[in-house]
Amino acid sequence: MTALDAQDVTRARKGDGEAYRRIVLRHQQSLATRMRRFARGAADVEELVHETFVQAYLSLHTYSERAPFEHWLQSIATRVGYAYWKRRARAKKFAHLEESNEIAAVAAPPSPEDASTILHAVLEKLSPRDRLIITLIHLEERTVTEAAEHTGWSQTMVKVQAFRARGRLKKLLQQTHLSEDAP
Amino acid sequence: MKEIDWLRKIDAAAANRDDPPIDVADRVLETLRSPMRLRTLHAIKLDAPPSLWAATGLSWAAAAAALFLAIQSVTQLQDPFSDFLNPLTMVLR
Repeated sequence: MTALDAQDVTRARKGDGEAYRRIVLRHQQSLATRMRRFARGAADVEELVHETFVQAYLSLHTYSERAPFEHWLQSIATRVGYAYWKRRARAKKFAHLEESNEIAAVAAPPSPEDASTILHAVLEKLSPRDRLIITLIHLEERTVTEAAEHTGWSQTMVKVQAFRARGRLKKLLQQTHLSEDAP
Repeated sequence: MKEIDWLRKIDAAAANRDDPPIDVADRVLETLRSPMRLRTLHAIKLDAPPSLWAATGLSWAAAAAALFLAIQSVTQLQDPFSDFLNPLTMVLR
């Protein structure tokens, strides 16, 4: 944890709103980058970042200061993002991109915008649980220990889940014939 | 691991998106100063839809009602002269 974070966390715990504002200003861009894994639209990303900072403030008393503040914030972000996926899956509000047309149409060579569309469209077809473990282990390249910390699962559970998720991803990509059109 | 390699390539391409910076500082502080919004967020933290809690409550109430009716019907069918054999029915009456 940086000295600035340490100072501001102490002040924020005592109810200093300006100290918490400085924390938000310091970490919001890195958090937004992270949250773009969980949501595509700018408004959704902003909402998730907002929710993460609010949840972090509500849990500030649980922060032990042994780990860097940013790591702690990122694990809250993971839980907020995962809850967002679960809410979407439950409500089925999100528009499914059908693999046969829209994904295939932008399969190769993708612009950054198209790549983002493909990525979210493919991952949305997985369950929130599979999607989370694929994101943490394979896209963010976190260790099993880190993934376990972020998810609250055991390390064995993370390994088993990752293995199964890879299998389901493979099946999904075979069904859509996407991996053959890799950029 | 071909599928993972493919996914990583797509992810790397998507990372080049030119996203505008965000600023949520004011909104965060505004939310933290609003007790009503905080209560909502505490509720969201539970991460269970209200309908789930309602359904759980209703199923418990239905189970309790069924049990009550079953006991009552048994006690009403009981031979009144055999009550002394069944202390439970005595209590319920």
